Parts: sequence; structure tokens; C-alpha cells
Amino acid sequence: MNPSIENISELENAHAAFLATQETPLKPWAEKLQQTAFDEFKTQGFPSTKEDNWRYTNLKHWAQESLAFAGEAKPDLAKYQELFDATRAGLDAYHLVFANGVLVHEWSEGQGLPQGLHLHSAADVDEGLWKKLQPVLEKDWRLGAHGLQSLNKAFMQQLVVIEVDADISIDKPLHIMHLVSTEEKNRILSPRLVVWQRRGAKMTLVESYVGRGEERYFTNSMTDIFVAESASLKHLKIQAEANKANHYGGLNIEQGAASRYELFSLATGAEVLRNDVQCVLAGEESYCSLDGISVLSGSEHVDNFTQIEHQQENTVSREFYKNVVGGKASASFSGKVYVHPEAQKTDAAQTNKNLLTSKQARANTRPQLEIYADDVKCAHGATVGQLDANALFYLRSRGITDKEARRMLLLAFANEVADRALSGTLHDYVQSIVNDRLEHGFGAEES
Amino acid sequence: MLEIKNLSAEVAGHQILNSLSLNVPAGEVHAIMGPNGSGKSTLAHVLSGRDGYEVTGGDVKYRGQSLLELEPEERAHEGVFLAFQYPVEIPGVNNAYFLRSALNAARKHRGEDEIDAFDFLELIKSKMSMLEMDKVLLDRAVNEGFSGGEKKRNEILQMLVLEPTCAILDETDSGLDIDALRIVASGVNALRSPERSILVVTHYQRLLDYIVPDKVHVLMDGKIVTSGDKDLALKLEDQGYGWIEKEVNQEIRAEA
Repeated sequence: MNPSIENISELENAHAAFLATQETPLKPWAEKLQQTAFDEFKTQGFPSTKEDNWRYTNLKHWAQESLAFAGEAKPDLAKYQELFDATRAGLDAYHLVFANGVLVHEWSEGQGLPQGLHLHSAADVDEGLWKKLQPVLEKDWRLGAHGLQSLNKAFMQQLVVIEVDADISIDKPLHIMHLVSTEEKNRILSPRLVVWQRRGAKMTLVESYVGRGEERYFTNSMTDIFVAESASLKHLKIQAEANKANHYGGLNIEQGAASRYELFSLATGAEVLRNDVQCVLAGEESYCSLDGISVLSGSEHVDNFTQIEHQQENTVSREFYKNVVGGKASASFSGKVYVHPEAQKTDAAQTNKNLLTSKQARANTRPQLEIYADDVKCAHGATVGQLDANALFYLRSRGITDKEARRMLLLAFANEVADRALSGTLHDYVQSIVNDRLEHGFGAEES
Repeated sequence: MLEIKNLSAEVAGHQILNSLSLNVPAGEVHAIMGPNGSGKSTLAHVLSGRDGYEVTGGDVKYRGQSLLELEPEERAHEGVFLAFQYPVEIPGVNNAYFLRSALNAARKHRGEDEIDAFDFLELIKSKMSMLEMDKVLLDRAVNEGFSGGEKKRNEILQMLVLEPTCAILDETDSGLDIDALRIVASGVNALRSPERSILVVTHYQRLLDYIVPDKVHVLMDGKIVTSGDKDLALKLEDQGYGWIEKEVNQEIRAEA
């Protein structure tokens, strides 16, 4: 038993309650896996800030809280209508919607999916699919495992499996929404997403985590993505969780030759938010870009922890993360790049820029390069700064109010990432969320 | 319109303005000339409300109210405009969006509706033609990558759009070639009217060939040491500032 877990009996009760409610076709296969994972978690516990990879993110309060499993009861959709409408506005997409962890059939695409796009949930897992799925669920993370991955497996609930057939291009984004509006304390939600992008397939995937309410909850999500040879996936992850939410997002990507994976990650604040991104460039000439914007105030915290492994020749990785940090908020960025001896002609570049809008705001940035090949190009750069006082004065001298001038400058800072990475409706969708966040909660008290 | 009375100001503990008095009535264009370090730019910055300048004495009355108590944006709303010596580059903020925001802020202050996008474009394009500005500058970030001349024209463009009642031009001529100077001056002249006062801060007489001032003041050691008409500027161009310094020193000795 890991000494960090003080609330073990409550956790065991929650897990028993969870297993008892599992009435999906997945149950006979998954039950053993979930029990094993729970036992593993009991040994591993929650990650500790004593571990180097977890220096900046503290989740130890969960060891004392009584985590409760969010039930399977059908949610009251009227409560979610507004969230759903706001989240889908401005983005024409195929929808898959969860409310408090339960799939909402009324709002999700049933028959309307395009040819070549296959979507499964726990409700329609069959033996054939399970055979493909099991190795993914049991797979070890290459670059270090921890308790949250086991915990996700133990409580695995919103399972979504996506498969895009070879050489198929999906015309519209697939938008998966996780809407939370809980009045109950300490709910744990454990979404699990597996994506197979088959050879030459193309798709845009949007994940939105949107929360409301004053209660603390824990979204503990895990995603595995396989981008096969010559396939490409654009992946937007939008984390607009409620103020008190905690969010762990484990994201594991494996890429084949000449494949392309582009992540755009937007975080508009949560009590604690940690993204673990592990991208393995396992095929020659594969390309990945990891981009992100975080806008934080109050006592919010975001930790973008990224690891890119260049395994083969001529692989390219790009990272560009920007944080706007106000109040007493804190932002961290870690960019590990590991270049294998075989990965000659690797081209890796990363940039992290932070803008602090208050005296108590903090930013930590850590590039970590491990290079075992001799013919490589690896660049990294980081900045921590404040709003340009000259620019602020210039705008104000033209009659633009201090508040509006700050909003314009912060938006301009943050948008640089979106301007480079996105275009069209995806760009506008992201920009309106960032703008909205800057208009609410980034007032004069931040200065 | 603009009455500066015994204005003293410090920057980082150094006194720059030294009981400066100046009166610019409505309808007039006044020029302030003076050697390097005489306080010309400090005066412009104090009038526009920039941080880092501490007013230690005196007052500035604008249309009867104290200007110094107002925030920079409030001064702009009241019709005060400073054309910057060094216009600021603002990456990521679109120039057209910026101009429209500034215009709408003024309109809002006057209780008017926001200008619609089409009308704004018409307005801005006519002003740009007048300044012979390339329209692509509208789609770029504010001043980012603009040449020196383009930046100065962009200042005058903002002035023409905002139509201030009191415009202060801080060395708008610096870095301009003769053609650009003529164009910028014609933009300023277009704004001359009986309701407006314009204060031109400059090193060189050349600009005053195109923007002919009603009065010329010489600023030295933080105060106006002499004033005259446009011929004073010509004399300065011809003889430099040395003779004024001598006169001032003689006066001081005579007083003693």
C-alpha cells in the first residue's frame, strides 16, 4: 500500500460501487483489468512533488479527500443544454457528447457518421474490438508510468474508440465533449480515448472538457493515439474546466513513417491541470507539433509536461507553448526531447513564452534535451516577461481604456500560437474562447 | 485652449521642466524648438500622461480643466493627441482593428454609436490616400515592420481619424525624407481650424516651411527662454542656439 493514500477505505468503496454499476458488454473482459489496475494504483499512489517529473504539480490533496465515483444515472439534459450549445457554437462537427461521464445519445452522432469513420463506446465493444483494445490498455508508457494511469484504468468509464480507415479523409472535425456540472463533491471522471488513424487517413479531432459549478471534481483522462504511415491527425484539446476542477490528461501518441500529428492544447484554467504528452516518432520522416495556450488567473495552475522521442531518421518535432498568467496562478512547461542514436537528421525546436500580469504570478520552464545522435538540429528557447508598458501607453493615449488595452495585448500575445497553428473556423473557435476568457476575470486587479 | 503655467517636472529625480509657461489659443499652431536635452519630449510626454514623469509644480489647463488629473485615455477622449517621436510596434494587434477601436472609444465617449465596418473602411481609405499610404499597412500589426516614414504617416493617419482638438507633434519630422515631410505636413495642415490648437515640437526649421506656425518658442533648460514669429525659426536655423544662450546669461547677470 502506498503511504500517500490516506483515504483507502473510501476509495475501495468507490471502486466497488463503480464495478457494480458496470453493465456494459465490456464488463466481462475489462473487470479483471480494472481490478488489477486498482491494486496497482494502491501500490503507486498519487504522484508526489518529490518526483522530478511532478515538481511543479501537487495533487496530494486527493490522498485525503474521499474521491467518489460519478454514477451512471442519466443526467438531466436541461442542465447541460446551455453548455452543449455554447461548446458546439461556431464549429460544424460530428458530435459525441458526455454529460457527467454518461454518453448522451440525443446529442451524439448515431447513423450520420461518414464512411470510413468508426466510433465505439463501452456499449458496443465486441470480442474483435476487445482483442485490438486490450494490448493498448495494458501497454506500458515508454517514458515512465505513474498511479494516475492505473487509476484511469481502474475507473475507466467514458471509453471511446475511434478508427479511421486507410486513405479516408474525414470532411468535418469529430468533436468529443465532456460536459460537467456537478453539485456533488469530489467526483472522479475517467475518460479513455483510443484513436487509430490508419494508413493515409486524415482527420481533425476536437476534445472539449467544459465544466461549471463550484464543487471540486477530478477529470482523470487517458488518450492513446496511433497515427499510421502517411496518416495525419490534427488534435485540438480544449480544457475549459470549472474553477475548482482538477484535470489530468495523459496523452500517448505513436507515429508511423511520414505521418503527421498536430496537437493544439488550450487551457483556460482549473485549480490544477496537468497535461502529460508523450509523442513517439517511430517512423522515418514523421512530424509532430505540440502547441498550447494557457490563460490563468486566481490560484489556477497548469503544467504542460511534454516528452518527444525521436526514434528514426529525418523526424521533425515542433513545440510552441505560451502562457498568460495573472493573479496568484502558476504555469509550468517541461519539454523533454530524446533523440535516439538511430535518429540522425532529427530536427527539433521548442519555444515557451510566459507573460506574467501580476507580481504573484509564477512561471516555470524546463527544456530537457537528451541527444544520442550526432547529426541533429535541436533548438529551444524560453522567455518570462510582462506586458509591454510602452505598448500599453500607446493604446491608452489613443483613447482605448486600460482594461481594453490589456485585453488587446494579452490576446495578441496568446494568439500568436493559434495564428501559426490553426486556420479557418478552428482558429476562430479557439480565438473566441481565449478572448472570452480574457474579458472575464482579467481585470485591473491583475496588474 | 492649452494653458501651461509654471510647469515643473522630474524624470527619475532629475528636474527636466523648470517652471515652464506656455499658452496655445484655439486656432493657432505653435512650434517649440530647442537643443537636445532641453525638455521638448518631456513636455510632450507630460501632456499625454505618460508614466515615469513626476510633475513637481505648476498646472496644465486644457479647455479650462486640469489636464494633469486625467488618465491618458481620458485625455484622448477630451481631444488631446500626441504623435509619438518613436511610434510603438505592437505585434499581434491589427492596425485597422486598432484604429477602429480608438475611433470607437472616442465615439463612445461622445455618446455616439460605433462606426460600422464599411463606413470605417471608406473613411480610413480616404485618409490613407491623402497620406499616400499603402493600404496593406491596414492589415499588418500596428507599426510592426513599418519603415520610419510609414510609422510617422501612421501617426498622422491616427490623428486624421481621431480629429483631436489639441494635437502635439513630437519630432514628427525626424527620419522623414523631403517628400514624406511634405505629405505629413499636408496631413497636419488639413487639420488646422479655428477650433483646434496644434503644438509642433521639432529640432529643425525645415518642417515649419510646410507647417507655418503662428508662434515659435525656444525651450532651454526646461523653460521657454524666448518666443517670436516664424522668422525666429529661420534665425535659429541660420545662427543656432548659441546667441540665445548668451542673451539669457546676460539677462541673469543683469538681474543679479
